[in-house]
Amino acid sequence: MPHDEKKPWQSLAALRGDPAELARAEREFAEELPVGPGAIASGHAHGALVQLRSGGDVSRRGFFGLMGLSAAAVGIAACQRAPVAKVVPYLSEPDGIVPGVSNWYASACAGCDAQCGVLLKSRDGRPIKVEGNPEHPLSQGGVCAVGQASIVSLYDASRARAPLERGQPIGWDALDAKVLAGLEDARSKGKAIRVVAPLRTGPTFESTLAQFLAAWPGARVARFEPSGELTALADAHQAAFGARAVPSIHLDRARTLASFACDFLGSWVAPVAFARQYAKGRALPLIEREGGKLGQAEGAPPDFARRHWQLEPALSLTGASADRRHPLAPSELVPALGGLVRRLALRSMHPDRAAIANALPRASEPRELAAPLDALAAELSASGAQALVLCGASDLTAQALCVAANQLLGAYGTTIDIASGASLPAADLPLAQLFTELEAGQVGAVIFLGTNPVYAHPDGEKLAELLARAPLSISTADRLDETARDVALLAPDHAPAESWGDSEARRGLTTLRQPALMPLFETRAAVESLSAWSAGKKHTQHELLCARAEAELYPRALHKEPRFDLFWTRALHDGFVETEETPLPASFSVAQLGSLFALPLATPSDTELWLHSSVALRDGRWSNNAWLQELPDPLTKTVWDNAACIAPARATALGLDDGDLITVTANGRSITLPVLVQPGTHPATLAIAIGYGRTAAGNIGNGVGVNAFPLLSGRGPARNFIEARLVKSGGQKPLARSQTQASLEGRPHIRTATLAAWSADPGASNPEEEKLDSLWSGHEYPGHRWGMAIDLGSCTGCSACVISCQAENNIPAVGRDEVSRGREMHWLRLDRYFAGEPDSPEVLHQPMLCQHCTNAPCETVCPVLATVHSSEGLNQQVYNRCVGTRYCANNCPPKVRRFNWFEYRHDDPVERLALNPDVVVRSRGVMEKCSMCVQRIQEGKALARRDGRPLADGEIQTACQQSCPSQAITFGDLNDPNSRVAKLTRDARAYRLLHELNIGPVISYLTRIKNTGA
Amino acid sequence: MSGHTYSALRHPLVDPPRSLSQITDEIAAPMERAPSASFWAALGAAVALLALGAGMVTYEVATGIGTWGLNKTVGWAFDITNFVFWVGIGHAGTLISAILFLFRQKWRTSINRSAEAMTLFAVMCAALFPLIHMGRPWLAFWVFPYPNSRGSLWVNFRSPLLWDVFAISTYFTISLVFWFIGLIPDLATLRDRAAEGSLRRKIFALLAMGWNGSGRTWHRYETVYLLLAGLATPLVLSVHTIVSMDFATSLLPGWHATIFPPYFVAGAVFSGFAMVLTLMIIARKVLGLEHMITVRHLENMTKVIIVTGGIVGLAYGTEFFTAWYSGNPYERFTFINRAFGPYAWAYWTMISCNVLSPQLFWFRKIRTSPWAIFVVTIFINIGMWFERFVIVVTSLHRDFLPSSWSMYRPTVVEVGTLIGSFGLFFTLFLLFTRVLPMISIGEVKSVLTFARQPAGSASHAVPAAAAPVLEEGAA
Repeated sequence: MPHDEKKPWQSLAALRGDPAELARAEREFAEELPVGPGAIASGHAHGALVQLRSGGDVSRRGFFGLMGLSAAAVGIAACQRAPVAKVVPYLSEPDGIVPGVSNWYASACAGCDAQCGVLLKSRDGRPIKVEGNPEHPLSQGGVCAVGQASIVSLYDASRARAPLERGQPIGWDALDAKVLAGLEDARSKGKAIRVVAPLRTGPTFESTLAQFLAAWPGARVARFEPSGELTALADAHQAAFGARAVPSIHLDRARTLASFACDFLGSWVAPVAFARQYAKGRALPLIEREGGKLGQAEGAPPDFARRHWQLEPALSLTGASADRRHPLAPSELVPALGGLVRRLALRSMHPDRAAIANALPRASEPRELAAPLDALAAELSASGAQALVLCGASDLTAQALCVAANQLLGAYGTTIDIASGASLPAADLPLAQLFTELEAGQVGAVIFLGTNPVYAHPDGEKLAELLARAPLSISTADRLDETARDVALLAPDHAPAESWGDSEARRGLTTLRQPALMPLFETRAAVESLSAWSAGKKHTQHELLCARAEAELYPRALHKEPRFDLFWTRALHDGFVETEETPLPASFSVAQLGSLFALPLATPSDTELWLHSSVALRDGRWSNNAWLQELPDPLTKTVWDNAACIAPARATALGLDDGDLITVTANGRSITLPVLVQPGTHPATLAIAIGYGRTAAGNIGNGVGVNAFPLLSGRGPARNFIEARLVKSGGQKPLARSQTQASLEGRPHIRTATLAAWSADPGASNPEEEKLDSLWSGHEYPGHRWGMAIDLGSCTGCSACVISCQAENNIPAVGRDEVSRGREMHWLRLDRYFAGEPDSPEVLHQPMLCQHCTNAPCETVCPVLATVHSSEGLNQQVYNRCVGTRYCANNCPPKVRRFNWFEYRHDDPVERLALNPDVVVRSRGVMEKCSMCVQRIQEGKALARRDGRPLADGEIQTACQQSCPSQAITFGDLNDPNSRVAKLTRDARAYRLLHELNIGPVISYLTRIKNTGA
Repeated sequence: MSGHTYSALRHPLVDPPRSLSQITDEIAAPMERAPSASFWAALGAAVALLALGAGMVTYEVATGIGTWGLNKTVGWAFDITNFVFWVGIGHAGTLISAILFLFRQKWRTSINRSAEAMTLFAVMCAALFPLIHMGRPWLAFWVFPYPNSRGSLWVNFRSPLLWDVFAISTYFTISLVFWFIGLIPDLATLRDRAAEGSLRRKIFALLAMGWNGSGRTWHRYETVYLLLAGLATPLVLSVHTIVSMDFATSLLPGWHATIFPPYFVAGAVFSGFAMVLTLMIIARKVLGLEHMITVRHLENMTKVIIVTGGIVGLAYGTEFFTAWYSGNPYERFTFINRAFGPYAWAYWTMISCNVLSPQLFWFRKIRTSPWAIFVVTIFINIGMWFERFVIVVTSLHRDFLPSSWSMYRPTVVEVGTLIGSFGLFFTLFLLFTRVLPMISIGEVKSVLTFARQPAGSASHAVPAAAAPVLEEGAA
């Protein structure tokens, strides 16, 4: 092309043909690249360049060569593999283990002495969750918070990992040799052999103990029960009926229930079974409401005469549920019970009424209780045999009066039964005598079988000193606890989930304990130790249990099997055996009982100590459990501490406020602890929870709270009517509380009505929701739509659901300091409010969890869509998408979202075994909240799909629902109009939280109905 | 009165008058002399505060949000308070540079440059807080809608926080461009003043983008400037409107209010002018620019403060009226709690500083006394910080369910971070006074006395063409 022929020129010099200019134009770069000799001299280039460059100047080729080499080097360097962690499948798969599928083992709970049946959920050989055994006749599927939390105690890093001698490891053989030598030595020197055993154990344990006692003549057993409740109960019944037993109680049959300081829903005897019975007795029929029209009642009509009275010194969980509640001082307990028995005797036709009335203590009840006692006596008498009087005090006179009252009412055989009670071993050696013998140097060997009297006995300190005088002292504690520290040898027991065992829940009902994992450490069951220390052949715990089952249970079992092995398989599968038993021989004798009335009475004082078990820690044996320590007390909402509860009026008079330190002195001992102003406390009462102040529980429980047992010094187990002195000691210890606001501020979040109002209008105090308009088109729920109903009438506030949720969802415990900053992590919490008069308030409980709103306020505000709505109506939190703006939590009306303020570690190799592999562990900086146990929903759906059947109503249970002792929580599919939850949602009592905001919660609460009326 | 009376408007804006070269010399002087000891002291103090803040932020990011005093109920406190505070500060700059420009308010010329710089620095401080308030700030880029390989994963366009991201980034971009365009003639001046071949000259030459002062260049420049002013104007309203929607679109009583957008915009202008005054009063004194930033400038700004302060006060009252009139018990409680609850001290601090203290500006004596103004503006700065604190914290700490009510107490880390943000702000501002002209040389020349007086009477008659004349039909 013609214009191509025009030669372009860059400058006039180039056009002219200036050689210098032409040479410059030839060069590609106007300036040298910084890789020449000069650059090398100035240190800019790498040494390798020197070898590559040719002729003093770096060539283009050389440069590219170097670049290529660098790229290749980088590439090769990047070829190093990330560290590989291999997942090795089973070479030969063990029978019955499918990775990712849980195995369930029926077993017995060891949280307290109630002997509830549980199912242990085991994954890959490790138990991860305790669920109630729905078939167990007593607990019927419920488990309390303590039972739930026993998983943490199983994987407690503070457990002893091998037998120890004075803290140094010693082999089992060496230990046994030392023990046998020591026992032999004691026998030869004529010194005493003493065993300190718990009050309530099991038949196999008792028979092994009997063998041990037989092997060492002269050996005697002292029984130790820290709370002293069962001892007093059993002793009173022994006096009255000649049978040392814990009676079986049927709260569901009691139309009138009078409870004198008896916390049967919280900690007394068997709270789970009682809560189930209690809820059953008070259940209301389901009445649907649609557009103002009421449907047919479904279920039995309520009993309008059913009423629960509670007279107690300090507010308890049971008192919070009562229809009528009256505070009374601890010293007024016996006079009030006496007054009641006197009134009942007047109305009774019982042949012994005169004898009982004549034997009654002289003290008359306080004047302000006269009217309530009149009314109570009238109601009790009207109910007759369908009435029940209970007393929770560990005071023999009070228990005896209680027996008298029930006897006058004719309640024995209906609401309370001694013939089918659980018999306790006969009292052998009083513990006080052991002290005397130790002091006198008469004891050659002392064995503590799972008891910790150095901590829990009022004179434990003295015992610790005395133990040094015994040549041989042994403990079978699972850790170096207070007692085990002071004995010579520790023969650590298995954790309950590692042990075999049995227990008599009531006569004719044996709960079986089977292990769900091999022992984690070099421990040995206490029965095996006992067996090893007895003469004759050593037996394993399994052999001991089977032998007893074959001899005792198999012949008398209600459910017959042709062979013992078939029977045994079935029994282990069920977790319990029912046997045909003759009733306990019991005949009422007023003379014996009356003698107990005559015990000396306490003189009232202005400060009376009331020591009680807390719902979480009970007698303190599980103090090294972070879940229980962080479980807010249902009534005080404190965590990680015990406090002295005093009445608001008293606090004002003394100028005390929450957190002020006081020194309490009783029986010559003093403790200093913070005050908590607690409504419902009697003005003269100072209520302190036991179970705190451990010094050798482990790294978690040590030094939490104050030990109140020493205040009972010299008193033995009778722990009521303790006169105390209270001194403001100055200083403050702010309490860590999960809830600081006690009043509902008149807001309708918890709706209550009286039974009378409800019967007049089942929608009483619960106007029907009006339909609200929305700008949104709404979600579609083509398949399931999950929902929940929570019956506030059944909920007692026991907090089992809180721990169940924590166990299921790997929720961390964050510690006292973080809770006091308002950062506890519970997905499900129990809100507690007070209403009415502060001296005897109405207590309202409300389980609060994510409401899975239809128009969820959290969903719209998240900038990164980390919280979204599922097609099944769940509000889902996507942890790995969350960047942590916390906007969702701010916009959440019930404030149920929980933020990971720090990295909450799950590092301990033992403790982390408790984690549920189905639920991810959240890292710091992300939000979390209730998922409605989506992992359980998915599992349930997968099972149904595998079997090719539709999902049945009630098949999927959330963790909170499963463990609820009073079955207050119902979960299910709202798209199925016949599901239980759908019906409850339509109940006239159902309301939804903050409906007026149009957020559309899928959780319905059912109005709480109380029979407070006249 | 003989001759003619000058209206306030006609009072010379540069007083006593200066010649064109004097103006250039005086404004360029701080950049051309060695920094004084007091500058070093001020910079040292600012950098020390900045270092404190950097340390606190590092600690927080490394450890977790738990180092702050937040809890399950109060999810935001100092973080978002500081964010809204700093965004608000920024507003005066844009208002002065864009809206006052469009309204032909000539007095803006000597303050707009530094006010705009203040805007940029304040927005930088503000932007820090949404970033560090995240639980996982290293994933902050997830708030941007960028194509990704995570399936159809996208951001949530319904979330006001996302709107914030767009609003703030747009605002910052426009403000930066506007400021830079406005700087170009001055940068050229500085380029020309610098010694031939010096680094300074090279830098300014690069930044001046080949400015040659020709009539065409001026014309284009003015057109662009006008357009950008038009673009920036809606941003003055939109940014704080959107910031207010973080609260207004939630359903928390105390946040969920329709008056928030105008209330926040007025509050932002109010606080921004207070901050401009605070800075200017110091700067004019320290840099000897009292004849260019005259008392009249200060007085004009105090008038803006009276107006916006009045709007803010009205908003406070309206909120209470709405709370009462709505009949909503939660709303009602929130406002009673604000005024009489545990954070009442914060509320009354806010009221005293924001509603009562600006009333002093009704007095001419106070309005014309720089140090009195300074004191009042400090109060307003404090008050406006507390306004955001009151909105954020008192609404959150006691909301629907009494069971969740709690108290919030800041930690050392939070206070340190707030102080650090002031350190950042002052560090940037002090550096700005050293490296760029604090007052627009070109624009101030346009308001010199000569342009206002009848021909012939001007004592400093200089050919008018030498300076850009932005006004039309003036004098």
